[in-house]
Formats: sequence, C-alpha cells, structure tokens
Amino acid sequence: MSNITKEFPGVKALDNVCLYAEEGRVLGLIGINGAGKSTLMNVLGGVYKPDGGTIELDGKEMIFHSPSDAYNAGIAFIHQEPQYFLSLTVAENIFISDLYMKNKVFTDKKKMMEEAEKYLSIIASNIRPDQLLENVAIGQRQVIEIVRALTAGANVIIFDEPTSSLGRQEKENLFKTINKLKAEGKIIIYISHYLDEIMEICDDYIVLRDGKLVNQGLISETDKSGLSNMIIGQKLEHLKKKSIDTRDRETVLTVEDIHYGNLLHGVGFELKKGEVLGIWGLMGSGRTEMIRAMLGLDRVPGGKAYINENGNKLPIKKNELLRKVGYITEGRHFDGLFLSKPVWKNVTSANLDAYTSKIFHMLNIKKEYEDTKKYIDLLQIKVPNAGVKMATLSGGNQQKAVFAKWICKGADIFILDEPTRGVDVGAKLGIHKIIRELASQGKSVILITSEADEMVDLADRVLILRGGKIISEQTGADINQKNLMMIALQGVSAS
Amino acid sequence: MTKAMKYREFFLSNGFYLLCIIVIVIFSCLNRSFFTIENFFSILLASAFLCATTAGVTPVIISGNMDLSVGSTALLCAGVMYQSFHLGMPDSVTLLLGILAGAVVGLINGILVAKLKFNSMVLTLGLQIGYRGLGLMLIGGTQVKLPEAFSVFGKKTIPGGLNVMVVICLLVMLVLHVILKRTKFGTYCYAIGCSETASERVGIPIAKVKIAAFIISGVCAALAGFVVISRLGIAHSYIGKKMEFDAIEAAVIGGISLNGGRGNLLPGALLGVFLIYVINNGLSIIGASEYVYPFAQGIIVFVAMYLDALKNFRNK
Repeated sequence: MSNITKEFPGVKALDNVCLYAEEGRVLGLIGINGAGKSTLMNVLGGVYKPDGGTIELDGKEMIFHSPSDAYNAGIAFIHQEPQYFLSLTVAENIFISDLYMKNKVFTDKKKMMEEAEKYLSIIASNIRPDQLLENVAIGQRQVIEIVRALTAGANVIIFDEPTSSLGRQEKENLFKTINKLKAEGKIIIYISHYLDEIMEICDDYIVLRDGKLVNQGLISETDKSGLSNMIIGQKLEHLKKKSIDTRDRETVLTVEDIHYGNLLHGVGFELKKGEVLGIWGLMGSGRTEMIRAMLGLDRVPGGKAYINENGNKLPIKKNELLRKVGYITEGRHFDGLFLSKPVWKNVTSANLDAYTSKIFHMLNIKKEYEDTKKYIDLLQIKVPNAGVKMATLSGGNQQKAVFAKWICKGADIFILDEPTRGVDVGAKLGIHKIIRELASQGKSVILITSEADEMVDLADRVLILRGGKIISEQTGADINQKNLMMIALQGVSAS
Repeated sequence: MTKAMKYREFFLSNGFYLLCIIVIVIFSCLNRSFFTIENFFSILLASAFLCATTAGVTPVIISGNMDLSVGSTALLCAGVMYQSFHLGMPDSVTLLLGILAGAVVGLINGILVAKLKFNSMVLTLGLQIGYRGLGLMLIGGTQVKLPEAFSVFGKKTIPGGLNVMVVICLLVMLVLHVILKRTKFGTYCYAIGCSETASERVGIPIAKVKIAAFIISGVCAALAGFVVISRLGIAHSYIGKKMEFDAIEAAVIGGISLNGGRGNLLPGALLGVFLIYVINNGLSIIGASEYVYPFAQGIIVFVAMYLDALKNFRNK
C-alpha cells in the first residue's frame, strides 16, 4: 500500500501512509487509539475507499469497491467485533461466504461439518461444528472469524485486536495458529495495542500516529519501551493547569467488585465530592463497560455500590443509582437526545416531574421553555431560540444540551463518556469549562476520554484500567500524557 | 442441572407441542366426531390455502422483513385468472398468468424494500390497498361465478380421498422448508435475519435474497388465491381478507421470530396453521357461537407468544 490518504469530515484519518508487508512474516501495526490503524486496514479490506494512494498485491494494482472485492483478492479481515449469525450452526457460520454445495441446488451440510471440524481442530478449539452459535460462549465466538479466514484460503490475514475477547488458552492457540499461517507463507498483519503481544508474535512493526506513519523496523531490533516511545512520540508536553488534591474529601459514591465477562475482574473505586475522576485506559480496557455494569445497564453478576447520605454509607441498587446520576453516553445521537424534538423538550426531558401540575400531571410548557432559556444562557448553547429542533444544532451544541438536561435534573454525579467526541474546538473548550464549573459547584464527575490532553486538563485524579483491573491511581503532576500512556501500555509509570 | 430445571427446560422447548396436544385432547373429549379422519381431512382442506401463504411469507419474515400484502395479492391473482379465463385462454395459461401476477407483485415489493430501502411493513401495508383495488376492478363485482373448470379442479382427489389442493399446498410447504434449510438462499435468509451488517460484511447478496423472498411470497399468495377460488367456484371481493394476518399469526405461533433469523416451517409453522383451524373447527363442532372464535384464537396466540418470550428471555 502506498501513499494512502483518507479524510473524514474534519479529520485527516490517514496522511500519505505507506505499508509494505512480506509473505511469511507477521507485521505488527501499532498506534494509540485513533492513530488510524483501523482506518488503514478498512481501506485494505475494502470497507473504505481511499481518497488517494494505491494498493498492490503481488505486484498487481488493486482497486476494491467493496469488502467482497478485497475478500475475493484473498484479503481476510478478522474484525474487532466479530461478524456472526446466532441462529446458524458453527459450520454454517464458518462457510457462510462460500457454502459447500452438493450440486447446483442443495448445500452440503455433511461436508461443511467435516471441513469445519478439520479447521477447528487446527486451532484446537473444543467447539463442535453442529452447535448453534448462540450456544457457544461469547469469548469463543471470535474463533469463527479466524477459521473463516483460514477456510477461505486468504493470503493476507488482518487481525484487528483479535485477543480482546479471548481467554488465555485461546490466546495461546491463536498465536500457534498465526505461527502456522506464517509458516505457510501467508501475509499477516496484526493490529494491537498490547505491546507484549506485538513483541511475542510479530516480526516487523509499523507505527502510526495521528494518521501518519512515524516509524517502522524489525521487532528484533527494538523493545517494549522503544515501541511505546514511538507510539507516544515527542509531543509538546501539555502541562497540567491546576489540580486539586481531592483524596481527603468526603466520599460520594463507592463502587466495589465489578466484573464484566473477560473484560473486568473486580474493579472498584471511590468518587469524592467536587472532583473530576478520570478513568483512563486503552480502547477495549472496559472503561465504558465498567460504567454500564455499575449502573445496571448491562446485566452482569456482582458489583456493589454505596452512596453517601448525610454522612452514612448506604448501599444503593444499580437502577436507583442510574436514576441519581447524569450519564452522558458515547453516542449522543443514539441514546442522549430526541433529535426530532425541540431543544426545550430535550432539556427538561429528564426532569418532567418538576414541570407537572399536581392534578392530572399536566405539563407547564411555559415554565419548561423559560427554564430552557436559562440553561441556554448558562451553558452558552448557540441556538436561535429554544424551540428549534435538536437535529439542527451542531454537535458541540447538542452535547451542551445533553449537559443541560442532566443539570436541569439536578444530578449530583455526572458520568461523561467521551464528552467531546466529534465536536469542534470552540465547543470543546466550552464543554471543558462546563465540566470544571460542575466540579467547583461540588458536583462529582467521572470522566472517560481517549484524549490524553483532555484527561490532563480536566482530571483531579486518574484511575488507570489495564487487564481488567485498576492498576494505578495518579494525582497532581503525575497526570501527564507520557505517564498515562506508559502505564496504559506497559503497566509501569514513566518515571 | 436439577430435576426442576430439566422439567422447565422441557416445558419451554416443547411447550408449543404440548399446547397443540392439549387443545386436540380437549376437543376430542367434548365431541366424538372431532377426532375422526373425515374431520381431519376437512381441517386440512380448510387450511390448505393458509399453508401456502404461510410458507410464502416465512422466507420474508426470516430474512427480517414483513409482507402484509399477501391477502391482496391473492385477490389480485384471482382477478387475473378470472379475466384470463374469460378471454378464453387455456387452463394452463390461466394458471400461469395468475402465478406470474403474484411474482410481479413480489418483485415490486422486493425491489422497493431491498433497493429503495422502504420499511417493508409500512410499504406492503400501503401497497396492498392498491393491489386489492386492482383485484376488485378485475373481478368487477362483489361475487362472480367462475366457469365449471375451476371447481372441477378444486374437487379432484388423490387415491385415499385427500384433496389435490391439500396435497399441493402441503408440498409447497415441504419444498419451502427444504429450500430454507438446504439451499444457499435459505441459509442466506437466516443470516440476513440474524444480522444484516454481518451479512454485508461476509458478502451475501442481500438485495437479491430479499427480492427473491418477496417473489416467493407473491407466488405462494397467487397459489393461495387459486386454491380459494377453485374450491368455492366463485370469485368474490372477500378473497384474501385478513389472510396476511392469519399467515403471520400461524408463523408466529409456530415459533418464527418476527425479528427474523429464527424459526422453522416444519413442523413449527405447519402446526401453527393447523392450530388455528383446529380451534375454529373444534369450536364449530361443539357448537360454540361464531363470535367466540376470534377470542379463542387470541388466547392461543397469546399463550404461544408468551412461551416464545419466556424461551428468548432465558436465552439472553
């Protein structure tokens, strides 16, 4: 692949990236969240069309219009989120793109079972080919995609974070499989931000940062800290503006013992009054899942929460906790707003009880409208008036409206999941100001973000998730980019 | 697994069959003429057209769509056959034209859903008004008598006394069951119903499969229309009324998920069809008021759906 460029509205996701992969070798593609790894591979896999650049395979120039073009050219993509069909059998899932046929009309189920069995035994999986996929444990389902690539006889196999849902044994089997594929002369591209895995399995590496290729070479000539320095780069060190030591403050919320499948193994934390508590971790470290489990949004066993009421630590049920917090989710379009409704209806939607009359629960529309105007001024939401439809607002202003919704509700705990994703710089600063003001008013904020700058700017205390556990707590001047990334990547702090 | 859990498991996975048996046993006890070969044949005859329609909509439902136009399609095709016969076409051409009309309707529905991304439920709910209107125009009256040849065909039996129509409709169901279970198209239907995004990623020709499913639905509806008019010997404006809902009801009772991707034609949907007619037939044999039928049907649908919901809930 040479000079690949891809732009999305507002961001240059890939800037003149060249990639060269050899047969019989494993190429590690590394970079921090949003560095452009997935975009690059989606271009190779035919999901995105590049705005510039060419792809050559065995010396021939290729143009992929769709994923199936790439697939037919022998490029197989093991997705981060595996693609499978719950009510089909394992064998059918494996051969879905290329079903075995007895003749022109009928599929050959028996042959599929046999073949599936053969390939499954290669990676030493104990899944039976005639099982319905819904009866296969979630952690094992990714195996389907790997076997699918094997059976399709792909020459280029791209693994995108393949181990995130695998257990230890399955991971070892996967590495054995990859080594076998390597010996067969396949081209393997392995994407991961787990450097241990990269060191173990890859021969070559290439490092992406902000959509640019910044480094490449042989794995044998580098080591883990060398790689992490390349990933992080020599960015201008963003200095912590100010942070307050909140460790001795009153605890508002205590969470204990949260488990979430293979992702989280018993995490817990305390949230203090008037602080911004950052949750930092690589993508797939279970940041969002921790919150969802804590609020009972995903049904997972275990997990206790206590809330402080007049100095007493009282246990609280998950769904009651959900009612008490303001949760600003990753996808505001999806589950944060009613896009087709006017701004004022959105802002008051979480607190309608405050606007209803005692009898018949009639809504006081005038009061809703007036209060919304107050919040619009307070949060500096740029709208012509409170009556316009939510969908007409820019991303940043929509996000501010989500804040307004929860402030209107009077929540004391705010949970922010990627609060500035997809908003422009101006709105971002505005949102940062809102977050700081919330904290200074004594509200407690849990902040999840993938952007190190944002974490450094805002958080008073940062918890770092890695390998399903909170491995470190950083405060004060220790909250800096280098430190955060080092710990997330390697598990040890920079200094 | 404890003994109680085993019972629970058994009850949940076989609840529908138990329900069928219970209903049959109750009616058999209430009236002696219920559990007889003659009555069984009459149930089969009454339910034949619904077997065809249910078999037809099943691929559509399994691939995650909905076809609410089958009833009107049946009427439209009956109209086409009536007109064609009137113009003096030979029998075989008449039948072929009717089937072709069904295929065209299916093609239109399919293209609009698959290519222009209409919501299938809304689209077919709207278009069926037009199809019905067209059918009414073709028939040109609330009730017209059909030529003798139609009813002759409708009364033919195979050795053993089973009506030819019944045999054809049961065959249709069998063929579609095999198609769904044993062919590429069928597997793709299930896959698309499970996850359209995943299907796209693995390169399934989604639009083609959806269009084909709608064509099958249209052809089966046409066949149902033919069965109805040849059995009655008349074409009337009520043909196909409520047929789409009965077909979907039968499919759902038989465990075909409206979310797509799940369920079997045999034995599930077939028993669903029978259950509806067994209840109607049983109630009429014991002399219940006609106004009780919908209520009884409603209860059975509810119980079947409740069992299904319990099963899904446990799987989650």
